[in-house]
Amino acid sequence: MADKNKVAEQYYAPPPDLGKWEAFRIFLYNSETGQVLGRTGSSWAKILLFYLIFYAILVGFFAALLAVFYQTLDTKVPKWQLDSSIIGSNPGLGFRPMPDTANVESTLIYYKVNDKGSVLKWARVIDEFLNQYRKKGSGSGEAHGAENRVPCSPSSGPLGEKQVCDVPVDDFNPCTPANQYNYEQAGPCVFLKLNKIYNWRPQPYNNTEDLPTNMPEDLKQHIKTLSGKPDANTVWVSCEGENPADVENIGPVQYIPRRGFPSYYYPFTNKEGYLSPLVAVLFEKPRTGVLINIECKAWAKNIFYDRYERRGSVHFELMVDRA
Amino acid sequence: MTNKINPSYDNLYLGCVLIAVDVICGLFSFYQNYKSSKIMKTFNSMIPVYANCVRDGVMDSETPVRNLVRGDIVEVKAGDIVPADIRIIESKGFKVDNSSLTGESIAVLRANVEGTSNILESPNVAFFSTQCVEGWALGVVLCCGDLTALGRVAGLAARLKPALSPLARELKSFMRCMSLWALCLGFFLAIASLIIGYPFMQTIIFVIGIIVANIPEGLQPTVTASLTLTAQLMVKKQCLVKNLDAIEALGACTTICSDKTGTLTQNKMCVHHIWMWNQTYNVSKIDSEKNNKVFQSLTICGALCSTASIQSDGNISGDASEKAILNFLMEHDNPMTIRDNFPKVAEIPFNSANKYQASVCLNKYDSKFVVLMKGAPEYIANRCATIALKTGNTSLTTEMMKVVELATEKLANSGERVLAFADLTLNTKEFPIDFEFDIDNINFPLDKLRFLGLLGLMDPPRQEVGNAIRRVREAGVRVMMVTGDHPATARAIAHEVGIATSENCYIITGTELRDMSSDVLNWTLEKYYEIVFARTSPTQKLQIVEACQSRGDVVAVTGDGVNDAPALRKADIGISMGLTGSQVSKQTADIVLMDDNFATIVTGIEEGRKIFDNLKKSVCYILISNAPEILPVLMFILFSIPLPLGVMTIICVDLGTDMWPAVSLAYESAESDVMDRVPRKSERLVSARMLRQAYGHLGLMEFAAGMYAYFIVMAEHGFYPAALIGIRKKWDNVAINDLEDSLGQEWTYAERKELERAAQAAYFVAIVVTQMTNGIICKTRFNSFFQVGMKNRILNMGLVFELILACLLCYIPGLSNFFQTYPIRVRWWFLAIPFAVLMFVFDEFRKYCIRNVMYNGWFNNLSYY
Repeated sequence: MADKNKVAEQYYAPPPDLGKWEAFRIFLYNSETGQVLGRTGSSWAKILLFYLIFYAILVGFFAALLAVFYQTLDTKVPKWQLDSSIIGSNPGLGFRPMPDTANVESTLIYYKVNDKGSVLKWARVIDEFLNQYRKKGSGSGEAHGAENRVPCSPSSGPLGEKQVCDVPVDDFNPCTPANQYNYEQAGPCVFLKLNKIYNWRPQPYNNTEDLPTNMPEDLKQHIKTLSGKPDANTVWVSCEGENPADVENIGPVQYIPRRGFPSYYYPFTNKEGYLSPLVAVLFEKPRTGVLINIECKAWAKNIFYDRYERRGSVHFELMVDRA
Repeated sequence: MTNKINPSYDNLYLGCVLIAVDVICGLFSFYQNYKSSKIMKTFNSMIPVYANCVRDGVMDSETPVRNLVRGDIVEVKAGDIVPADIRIIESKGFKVDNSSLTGESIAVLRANVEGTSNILESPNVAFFSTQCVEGWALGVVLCCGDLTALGRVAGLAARLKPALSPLARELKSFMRCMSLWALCLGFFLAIASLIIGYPFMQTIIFVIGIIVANIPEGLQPTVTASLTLTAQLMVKKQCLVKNLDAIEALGACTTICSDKTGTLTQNKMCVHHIWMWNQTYNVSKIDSEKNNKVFQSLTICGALCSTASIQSDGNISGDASEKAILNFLMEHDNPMTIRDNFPKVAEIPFNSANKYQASVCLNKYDSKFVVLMKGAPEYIANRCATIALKTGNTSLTTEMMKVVELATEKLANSGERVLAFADLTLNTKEFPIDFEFDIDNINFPLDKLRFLGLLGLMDPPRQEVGNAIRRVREAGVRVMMVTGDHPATARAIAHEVGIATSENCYIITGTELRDMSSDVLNWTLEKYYEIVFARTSPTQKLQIVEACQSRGDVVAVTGDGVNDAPALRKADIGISMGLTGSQVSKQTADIVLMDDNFATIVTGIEEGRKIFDNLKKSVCYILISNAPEILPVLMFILFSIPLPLGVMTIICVDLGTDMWPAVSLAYESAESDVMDRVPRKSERLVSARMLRQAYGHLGLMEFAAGMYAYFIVMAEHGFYPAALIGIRKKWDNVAINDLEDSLGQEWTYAERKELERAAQAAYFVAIVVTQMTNGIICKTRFNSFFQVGMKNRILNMGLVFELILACLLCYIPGLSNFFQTYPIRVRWWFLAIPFAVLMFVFDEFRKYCIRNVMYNGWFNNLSYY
């Protein structure tokens, strides 16, 4: 028995019991085997090399496929257009000036008439927006393709291949920078633009037939006066207060230079220098000190209005303070 | 008027889905448990427990124990389990082992005597579940079921939870790790998204998405499915799996301690050799000696000593070796006539203490009593004075004793069980015809007998055992024999069945084992691979199992006898024999081989390993889709792109499209290497290799496929990748109604959100397509797909189901709104296919390297999970 025990001791030796930290230290760096985190240097090198190659192949594969795909795309023309694209053929409206959208989900234009700072703030936002409309020529610092812009009128003939219609923003009196876009006069200008959709052509209400029943009366009247004239080929715009109180508070509204977006600006085909037509809406005398919900709609036979999805319309709030 | 576009509805849908998921998961696991417990119930009723019950004076040996009532009279014989608490009314040498109640394995005598006030110590009561080791008894049932002494103890024990099986432990730790990881990741992303200024509600939804993405919901049904499936399959192979987890444990088993008799052998003793005075005859050549007087005496002695009885239908019932003797005699003489001519007047039954069996019979021819004795040669020889020769009787000298011993040893060495026979004719003076023989106080001589001869009995090994053991050993499972039998017998059988393949086989007897310290035993187990334990007691069997377990082995014990029961219970997997096995062993065992076919164990090991393999495949499949579900959120935060995959779509993948294929991987058949591997010892269900494979390789490829689809859908609508980076704040701003894309088109909020949904749906479809490929990839861990083929019908259906479900989710108008998907263009379904092909090729390459152990097995170390 004693002998057997001796032999047993020789063979049967359990591994030394290491403390937790000791074991962890050895895991971090094992001086006996030269292992760092359980792997030797060459083992680490191999595994890093493998993953380098593996991920390089994966990224390369991804990039190659993406590149192949890009070959099928046109740099100017969207693959899917109008109704085959998710964008559809029902443009929304945009307004300027917008509050600092990067931080706040807000559509409120709020300022104090007597506060020069707040007036200038909004004026600067509009200045920035209109900057691209003012650039001429193709010199340095100028907008690319601005030389293609030509003045258009409802009666002018078809445009050249590269030509686009100019938007004469300097004629938007009194919505001019010199006038701070009339903000100081407590009658702010808000610029409206129709969303660009590639190849979209408006079907304007150019006569008094088929006018929708929910079209504001004043717009109907306006269309009546222009019915049949080339000027009537316009995507009409109307701005109203959303609620009865807003309607009361909004006061008289002027549309400058005309009440809509003339159809000679369309279709948008991503030509260089193309400018989206603008309508400056001048709220002549909104009630001060109250918040006014305003909804502006675009009117054409192929624009359908949906308040929830903001189709064919835009919503913003206006609040002018005196104090 | 609100600025948001029906925001409340999206969150409401999400809430509904989450609640539905909870309820459905709960119902499902309830259903699975219900189903498996029903299966278990049928299993249990397949091993009925019967009692010998006397009712209306008729003995019915097939009265189910549960039908016993108070007042029934039951008979209990050696080897039986007492069916209820009984008061003994009649008995003979009735001894019970109360170990099931007291834990002490000492046989105590119980008889119809005066009782004591403490019922537990009362010598006239035997308790339910205790085992009768000797004698027999008749008793009146005092109480049954829960009212019994054991029932009350069991009531206590039922409140204790059983220990978890290795698989359950593994699953538990995996789920804990996964949940922790999901929570940490969710917490980290919550912090990150709050820091970049995302609203609180949106953050919560992210966190829910991340957690749902990470928790492998499909695991539990997969586990239950594979276990139930295998159990059903095993039943078809005549193997009852009483404990579902045991079948998986069998796959992990590293050591099998097999009993010999009845397990490895047929438990059908046959006489192989006859030794009569210095002459060994083979059983087939004994006919020539038919008229030999010694042989005739031997036949008479054998016929009278054998306790086996011949029933009217010609069947022989009784103990194995008794049957063997009778069977042998039937061929040469008619034992019935012998018995008629020698009526039995007294009998001393065999027990382990005296090691002999004796009977006194009256010789009708000369009206003399004869004492006939049968037993172990060394005991019998010591009681003999003379020996029968052909020529007559001579006194048994020490030299002759040596000759007898030699013959015994020779027979024993060839694995035979040797029985010696002796007789003594009593003279009529001392023992007149009316002499009363008393076996309790023996009043007749049991020595100075005449030695007749030896019978060598042999229990031949089962046919299939040799092959089965070879396969088990190839599978890296060590087979040890643990038997109560003689070392020589054990050795002979061990050699025959292949447990011992060389002379190195180490034989340890019970006596040696008793002297061993546990260290020495450990060392012995370490040093010798082939070990045969002989002459072991039940406690020593237990000790051996424990010693193996302390070395970290997963031990399976096969056994059929009552003496194996403790070891069966202690073992990780107890395997009992259905035909020859005793009631106790069947009740204790986890697995019962209904047809006693040892080869079924091989299937069991294969099935057990298959379960573990398939679970790994399933887990891997589930984990792979985690990476493409988590990373989009990271992209969203890091690169400020519109969210590539929404929470609802994550849920669609995890609880919808992934579910069936994940479960169906349990139906995958075993891989070709399953029996060439060594048993898993410390192998985890989820290893670093699997995580590498799931998150590092295939998951990233899926992510790439998803991002590719996302970018393509965006780019085809005018948002080029370069334009997308950093766009998130404007994109998600409801106030902006005119966001310009790379081609100058301006998008309203609703339009961009619709585009986002389309891109997310394309991402979702990319996951579905790549996960379908993954289903095919995960079919095998080792084999090539081309070796295996698409034979798993459940998986094939699962893949079709995945595709159809994805289509339904995208194209059914209500569903696509509910689950935030989009009826995407057909061409976008094909975007992921190059990636799917890449995944497949990469994985086939990986498996090829693993199969051929290329690069010094580097790939095996990296990702052979």
